[in-house]
Amino acid sequence: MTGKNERAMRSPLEQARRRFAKNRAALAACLFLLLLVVVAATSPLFQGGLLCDPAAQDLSAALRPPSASHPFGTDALGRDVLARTIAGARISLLVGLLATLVTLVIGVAYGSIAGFAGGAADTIMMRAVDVLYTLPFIFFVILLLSLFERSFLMLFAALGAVQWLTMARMVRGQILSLKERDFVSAARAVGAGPIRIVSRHLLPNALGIVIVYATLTVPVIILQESFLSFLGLTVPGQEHSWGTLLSEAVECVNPVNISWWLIVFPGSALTATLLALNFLGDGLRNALDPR
Amino acid sequence: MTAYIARRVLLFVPVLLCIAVLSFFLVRGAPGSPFSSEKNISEETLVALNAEYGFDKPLPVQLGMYLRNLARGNLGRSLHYRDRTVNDIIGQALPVSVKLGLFALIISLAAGVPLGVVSAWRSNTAIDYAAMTVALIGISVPSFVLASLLVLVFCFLVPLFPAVGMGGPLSMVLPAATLSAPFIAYVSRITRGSMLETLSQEYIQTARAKGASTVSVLFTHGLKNGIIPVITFLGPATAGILTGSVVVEKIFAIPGLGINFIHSALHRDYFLAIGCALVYGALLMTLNLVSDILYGVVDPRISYDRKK
Repeated sequence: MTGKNERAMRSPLEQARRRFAKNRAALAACLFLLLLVVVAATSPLFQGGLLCDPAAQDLSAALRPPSASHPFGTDALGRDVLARTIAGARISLLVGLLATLVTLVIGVAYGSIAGFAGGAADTIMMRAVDVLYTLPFIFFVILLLSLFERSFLMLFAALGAVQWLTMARMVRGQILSLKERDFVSAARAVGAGPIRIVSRHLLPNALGIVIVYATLTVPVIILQESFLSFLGLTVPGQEHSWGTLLSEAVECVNPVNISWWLIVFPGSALTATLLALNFLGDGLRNALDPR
Repeated sequence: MTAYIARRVLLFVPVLLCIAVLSFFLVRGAPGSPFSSEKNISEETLVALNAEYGFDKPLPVQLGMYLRNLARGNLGRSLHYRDRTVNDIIGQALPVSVKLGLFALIISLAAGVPLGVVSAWRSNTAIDYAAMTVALIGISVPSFVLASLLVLVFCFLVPLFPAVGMGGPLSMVLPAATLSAPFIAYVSRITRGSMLETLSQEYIQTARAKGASTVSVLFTHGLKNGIIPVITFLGPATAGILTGSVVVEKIFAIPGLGINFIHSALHRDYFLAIGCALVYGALLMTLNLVSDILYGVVDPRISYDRKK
């Protein structure tokens, strides 16, 4: 009897938390990502001690296979691949998170304006999104990055500009269905203005979907960043990301010199991170948005 | 149907115009000159070169000239390979990319659909979990990581395939395998989902009761409905394969459209870059249209004719 009452009294957030805790794959992914973030963020503290300096060259120990002193081996300039993989995580994660923030801001603002305004404004704004969807954006990004002087701001803007469309569509759909609900009419009846209704009543209710899609956007952006740096379109002076590590590795591996560790370790780090982010996103979707 | 296709094809024009104008301003607005890489270029030669390609005129005039040529199907001349036109270069590169893309698409379907059907048939068993885990990994491994690993194993460790270039059919195997890996995964996931739904329907029970064999129930009765979502996915899939081919062509040094695009962007070969972007745009739209038409053909409930 009491058990039943307790279940009825659980808040939606508590229910979502419980659903998420049951998903072992998502929990494992969450732990892995936390560990990765902590290691990446604190790695400069260990440099020189537990970790080698990622930039320290030692040409006498170039292209050594994994050993006790270099668990992931060394690259063509004798740099420690483990330290470089961890340093690469810093830049890949940072780019992923910051560019997702860009898509979040543009997508949420655009989608909620279109959804809340409705009518002709909505039609025009969403038709524009449809047209933008058909443009081969990645080619514009490649053009932009190869022709102009590259900067970090441009990289974020370019990556964010490609990905905000889906976010805008999701948010608009949510706002559209939420704004017909009774609590919105109630808010309007007590005199709430449009900005207050959107920010206090509609968006908090769409938050679940927004979080899920933001989580699923991070791996897409990390993948695109590594894709671009693999093509050599890195920001000058930028610290290397996983993409640059892999592109350097492909350059120096050949039939005479099969330095598999140069590809396998950074490649696995990138793949595991993408996999974990996808697991986390799927888990969050199941927890926050059970149909 | 004809009216629908005509409407969609008509929409190509503004989108292509959009791509042309946007990429034109991108390449022409960029700092630097396409001729700056030349050694010891004299002032007069530079002026002459700029005049030859019309770069001495104001930008709107240049755009007008470009669009006028474009309307006649002339994509201009390459700035890097002086004696070749963009049409010529693309005409040579496009068939290579299309061949690679088609090969990858066929692999995706030939491997993904049976995998999905078996997963759905044996759902929630070890076979199903194994297949879907492999699929998830296939989605998460970036193409250049997979390509590097494949080259490492099958070209260097066990030399079965050539590492670069386009020789015989063998040279296509690794690039196509790389390109199709994520799509095998997507196709099998989609097929599994829709087959699970289809197999629970009553007409499947009827077919089973009549004594139809498992293979016949799965592939003749079930797949007829189960394949529909896969066909809708063909549009996005071919789009993904096209974009993915940029990186695959670079790794395997395949002389396709993608590698030409990258090189043209890096060498400031303005007209080749715009030309490649335009061809990609046109391909994407055509493939999406084809996939939408196919969707209508396989699912008679879908009608593209406007309701009277």
